[in-house]
Amino acid sequence: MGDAFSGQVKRLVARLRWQRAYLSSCTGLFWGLFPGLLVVALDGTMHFPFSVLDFAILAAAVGALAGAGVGILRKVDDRALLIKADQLLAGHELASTARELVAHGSQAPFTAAIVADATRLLSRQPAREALDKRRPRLLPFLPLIVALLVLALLYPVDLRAIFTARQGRERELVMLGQDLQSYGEKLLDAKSPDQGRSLALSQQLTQLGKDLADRTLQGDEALDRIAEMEGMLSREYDMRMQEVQPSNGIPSQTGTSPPGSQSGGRQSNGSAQSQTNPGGDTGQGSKGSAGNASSDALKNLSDARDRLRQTQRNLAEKAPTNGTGPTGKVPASPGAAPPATGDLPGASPDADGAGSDAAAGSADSNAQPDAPGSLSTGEAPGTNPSSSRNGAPTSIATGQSQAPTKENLPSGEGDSTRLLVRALPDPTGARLSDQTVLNGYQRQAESALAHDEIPLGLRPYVKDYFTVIGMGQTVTGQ
Amino acid sequence: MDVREQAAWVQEMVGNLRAEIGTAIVGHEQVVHDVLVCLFCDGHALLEGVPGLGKTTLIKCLGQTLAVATSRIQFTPDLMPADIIGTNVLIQEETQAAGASAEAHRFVRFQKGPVFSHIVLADEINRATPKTQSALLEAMQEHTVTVGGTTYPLDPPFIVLATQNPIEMEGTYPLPEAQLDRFFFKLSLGYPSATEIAAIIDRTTADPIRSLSPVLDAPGIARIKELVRAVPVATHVRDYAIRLALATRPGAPEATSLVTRYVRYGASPRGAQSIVLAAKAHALFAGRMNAAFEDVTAVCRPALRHRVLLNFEGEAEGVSAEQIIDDVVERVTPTAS
Repeated sequence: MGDAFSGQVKRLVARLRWQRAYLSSCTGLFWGLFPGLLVVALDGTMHFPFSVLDFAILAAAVGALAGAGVGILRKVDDRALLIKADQLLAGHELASTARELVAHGSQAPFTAAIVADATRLLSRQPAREALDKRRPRLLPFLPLIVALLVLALLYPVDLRAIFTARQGRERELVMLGQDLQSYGEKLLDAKSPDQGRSLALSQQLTQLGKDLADRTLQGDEALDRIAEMEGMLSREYDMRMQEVQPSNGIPSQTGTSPPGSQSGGRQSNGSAQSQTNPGGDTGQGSKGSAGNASSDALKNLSDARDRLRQTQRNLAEKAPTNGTGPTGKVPASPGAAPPATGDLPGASPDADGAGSDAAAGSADSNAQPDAPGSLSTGEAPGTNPSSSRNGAPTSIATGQSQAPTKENLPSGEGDSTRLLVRALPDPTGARLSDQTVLNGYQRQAESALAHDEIPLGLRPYVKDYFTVIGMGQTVTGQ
Repeated sequence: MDVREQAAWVQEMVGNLRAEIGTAIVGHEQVVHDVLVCLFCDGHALLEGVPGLGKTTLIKCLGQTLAVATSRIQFTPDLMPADIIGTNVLIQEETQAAGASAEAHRFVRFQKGPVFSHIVLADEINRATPKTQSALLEAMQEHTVTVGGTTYPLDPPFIVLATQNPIEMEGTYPLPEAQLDRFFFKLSLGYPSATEIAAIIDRTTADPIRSLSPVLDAPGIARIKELVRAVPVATHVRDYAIRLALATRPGAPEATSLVTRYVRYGASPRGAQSIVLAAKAHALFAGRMNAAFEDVTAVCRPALRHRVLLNFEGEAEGVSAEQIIDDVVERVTPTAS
């Protein structure tokens, strides 16, 4: 009789273990979902080298298994179990009393009858009814966790930009400072007709570069100084240009590309192509010593100014999307358009700004409408921004020895064709034109918007971003 | 007889007793049940109620149904202990041998008092002096009576069923705590309902009251008492009874707020003993062979009612011992240990 009762108790204990395993696995599943949820949510920031969905599933499975293991291996107090069973079965403490009688080997008159009754009680009722049939306590929260997981999958938050934006801006300023110091030295070395003015400008440029490189100049103050320096360089450049034009007649004939000669990618050393500008100079003009000095000075000024503009744009790009705050400043001048990137000595800085300057009604671009060797995505002679937008191929000179690569890409606006411009190889490093890069950014952003990859709250910022920086005007050449 | 049959027999006997008593006593089923619990637990009961509720009748009926010797002692202030337990009386007997003159022999003989009975009805026990009341102490506890250096055992079953009137306190001598503690149960009789009064009137004003038939004899009572004590109690059930008793003690960790505030003295170990033993009887009466939590809870009130002594604040605020016990039962959970 005692053996039968013990067998029933063992079955009950086993059932309790499975019950606990189930409950514990539910709890483990619940907590296992959290790391998965975290990883999925941070995927946009961290870019984990594994599938976050797989990780989430694996974490949940591990949690469930661990919970099941704990539930199975946990010690079972059969006394407490039988007390609980008595309560659930309305057994009037029959099973628990029988357990004690069996354990103590009682010979009391009622022992055999009680043990037999208890055995019958435990065997008559399904074992599961003797156990707590409560649901896992955390089960009601499971849909919430799953919903969060799905939301995190659909709308991953790119926290990295938030955390790394400041660091990126600081690095950008340091690099700018180093470059400015270099430009300042070059400007000083270049033979300029006005050494005094060049010296002062060089010193200011070098000092600004030093301050930025040493990180003694940051934030709004840095941006203000950069904007101020960019203005000074522009004015200096204009003055130099005015000095050169009267002496050389047509500036392009001095070997430097006139303003408006290019606005696409930075060109390699050499002359600009003339294939897109029938009326322009091909860059084979004479180069006297004075012209070379002027050209070097102009180039340095142009490079430094472009570098400043580039930095301003980069900082604006890395700024928070609300466009406010010190890092949210966007170059207000039309010069914020893609900079001239050509290393061509005669490359005209104004030429690179022609696209944007012209779009903004700049006098510089208007002053050089038929510059030889012009290169523009929307401004060069023979090209029409509106026609480019409407499908007419835009002629772009991208280099001397390499023809531009043309690809017909659907733009989503009927039969229009868009040209993909690839920069020529550059000995100082591979570079793409700002226009190309920003176009790529814009396409990426549009694609992300179309595929709902951007959280709802951030979409307006993405949409407004390109409008704010004037990209739409640049692309369309308006 | 199989133990199951014995348990069923006990249940049947108790049912028969209650039914038979019920033919004469209207209502008071719980009191009858508790009196039977006392009987089979070898305990004594103190019945408290206003006059006219049938306390004496109930006890008389019990004596008739049990077919055992019953006696009634009407406690009065001039009642002496000897009037209860008996006394040595001088007996003179004349014996005359053949051819001789008669000789008078004098000797002392113990004249048994009314306590030498199976069921002793101590009516209005609080009207006797403490000296007389304490005369029952030995009989109740030891089931013996000592007179003149000679101890006389009381034949089992021996049960004292005392009554007292709670409202007429003039000229009474409240039972001391030591005396109270020796009562297994204290039963409180309430007023009958209108229906019960109607039944009482119908039964008592028409035909003469018929005498009740004996249902159980002394050996049967003894057998049931054995079975009651054989009922096993699991340790957690026993511990529950202990925790209940401890919870009535002010200052104990288990004490409730009401106990701490209103109780002067809590239940003695006799209280826990009474609870466990009564729980056994309660289970057996229900046809079960083991005591359960519900049995403990069911007997808690009558077992602890007279063992919880209120302090002045409790008396002043009209708190009853039953309120304290109910609070203890409510707050002490069975499965806490």
